[in-house]
Amino acid sequence: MSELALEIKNVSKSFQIHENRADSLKENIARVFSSKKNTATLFHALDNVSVKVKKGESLGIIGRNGAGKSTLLRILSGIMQPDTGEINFYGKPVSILDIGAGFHPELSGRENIFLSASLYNFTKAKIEEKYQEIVDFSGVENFIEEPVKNYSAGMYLRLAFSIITCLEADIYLIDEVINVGDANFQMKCKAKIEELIAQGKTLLIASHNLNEISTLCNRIVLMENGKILDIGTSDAIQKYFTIAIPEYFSFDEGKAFHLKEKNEIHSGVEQISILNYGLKDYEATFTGISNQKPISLFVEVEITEPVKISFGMQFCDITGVVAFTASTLARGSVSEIIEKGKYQITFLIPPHLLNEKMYAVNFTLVGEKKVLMKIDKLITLKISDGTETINAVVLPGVVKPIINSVIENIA
Amino acid sequence: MEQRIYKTIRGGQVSLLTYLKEVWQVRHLIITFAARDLKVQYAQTYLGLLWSVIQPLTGLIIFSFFFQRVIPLHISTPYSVFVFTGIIGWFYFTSLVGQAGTVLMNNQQLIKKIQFPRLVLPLSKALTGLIEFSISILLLFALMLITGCPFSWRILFLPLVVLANVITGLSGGIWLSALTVRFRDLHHIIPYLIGFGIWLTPVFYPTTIVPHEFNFIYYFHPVANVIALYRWIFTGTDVNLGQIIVSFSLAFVLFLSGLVFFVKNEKFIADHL
Repeated sequence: MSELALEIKNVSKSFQIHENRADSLKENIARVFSSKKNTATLFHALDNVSVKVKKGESLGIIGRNGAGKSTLLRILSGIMQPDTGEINFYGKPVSILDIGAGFHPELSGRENIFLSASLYNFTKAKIEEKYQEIVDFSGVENFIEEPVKNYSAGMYLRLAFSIITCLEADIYLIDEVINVGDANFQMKCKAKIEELIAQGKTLLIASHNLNEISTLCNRIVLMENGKILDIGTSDAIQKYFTIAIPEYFSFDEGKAFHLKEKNEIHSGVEQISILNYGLKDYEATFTGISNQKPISLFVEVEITEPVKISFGMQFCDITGVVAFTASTLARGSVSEIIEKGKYQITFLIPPHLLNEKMYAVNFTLVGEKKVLMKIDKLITLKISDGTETINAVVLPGVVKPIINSVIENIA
Repeated sequence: MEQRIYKTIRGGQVSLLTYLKEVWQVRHLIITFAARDLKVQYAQTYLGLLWSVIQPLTGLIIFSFFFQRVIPLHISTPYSVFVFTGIIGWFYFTSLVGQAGTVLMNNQQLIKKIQFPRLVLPLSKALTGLIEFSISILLLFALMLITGCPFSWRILFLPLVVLANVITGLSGGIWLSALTVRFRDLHHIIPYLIGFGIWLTPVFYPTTIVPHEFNFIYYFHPVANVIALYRWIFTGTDVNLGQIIVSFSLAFVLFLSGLVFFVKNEKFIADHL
């Protein structure tokens, strides 16, 4: 048995939710004299959560907002207390629930380094030792005596993040912080986290972005309603993720695609009404629609008056990243006038393009140089490689074109 | 294989002593927060820390004008020294009640993101208050020199009286800080309490003009006795030992019970913010 880094045993936490929150004295006093019973209901933010994290492991915690990720991290970091249960740490933990926690806008960069670092329990000597490293890493040396309120958002983040990178611990508890800032900053964050992983540190990363953490974490916990639904590899979780997160998709298990309810959609353009939509030609197995064969999607519309319009379909993965956009608009041209009548618009997706994952297809109506209407998740697709087993390895990526590769002996 | 546990988290109560030990371990945070507040408060002002004496100085001028020129009060010591001893004691007390009482609400973001014993926040206010108090004391010394008030050996007792002043203020501040998290109304009540409180406290008037039948109040009024002791130190007026013992015991009980209440509720603070 390998060594444990931390053990979460049967942790529960509930909050009282009052019908009328008795925040005021009056209500509390009134309650004493009234015959009405306290109408508080219990909200179970965490319900008997148990996880063991091995040393050197990086564990992802995923779930939608309100699933209990943040409550769990707050309890782990000691900000909140569990109602029942116990957590044992077998190493020094540090929690990074926010970038720039403890920063004060009026203070200078230098003063904030000392303030923030001492909140993370650095001694003064330690901060002085690390000071230059922090400043160098942040790249804001020229502005270090300026109040941070005058910093650009990017500078602020860089300074705040460089303090965190100097924290020394065995177990890192990280909440969502890798999702802030621009792409460049996120890369830096990820690189730092990968460095920690390489050093054999134990990580716990909470996020609602499965894509983000699937590359960082070797095991992922899926939470919903304060409970752990599943623990497994990124791929295994991805399968359940779509079921558990109806905001992204609503699906019956085993179904290959899902169409948005007709009464939920409006074209948003007076002269156009959407009659029908769906898939025409495709091959599906139990595991989903095969990406080995072409897939065609269609939308039928009725146009009551001639209108300048073009149609498009945006393919997004579950994290909202647009994989590509298909459009009736030829490159560089403008929308054309379409006469009154009923039309069927078909998009033919070539084989070997989509990856084995979920896609949401957004339908767009584009007028003269601007998007008139975007219907999110008109069609959702579950794509598979056409085999009957789920366990095949899924390569990361929003698309999966055929890339020829060779291994040659050059010796 | 048994692994060594570095740290365990579980629900339930910690004892006051264990908690105070934790606070002691991070005592540097008290200084950190106090320094932060002072820097922030006086950042980008021309007068800087001098602003902290503007308020007591204004009090001094207004009270001196009213109770020497408009409604003259006849007391043996120079009125300016008399009223300023009252003002410094009262202001330190009210700044502790007001600032320590709201410090948890004003640092919500921090409390939700970083773990540390929350008691250091109200305690840090005692330290910022002490800096401002010290500046006022220097001003008092200047006043005494100008008006020719003699300095006495009794000044050796000053640290003890300041301690009584801090404990009195913190007893209110700690209770209020823990309570305001639950009952936000208190946030609005505090300024009223302070506004009316000055009339019940012998800041600008001597206790000798208060009708005798009301004197029992001072047995339950620690701030009045703190001020009486400042006056004893600086102007040599008599003090009532009975009042001091009873009211200070009361303050100490309030302080201890406030600590217990705070520690008992600390684990819910983040839940309510």
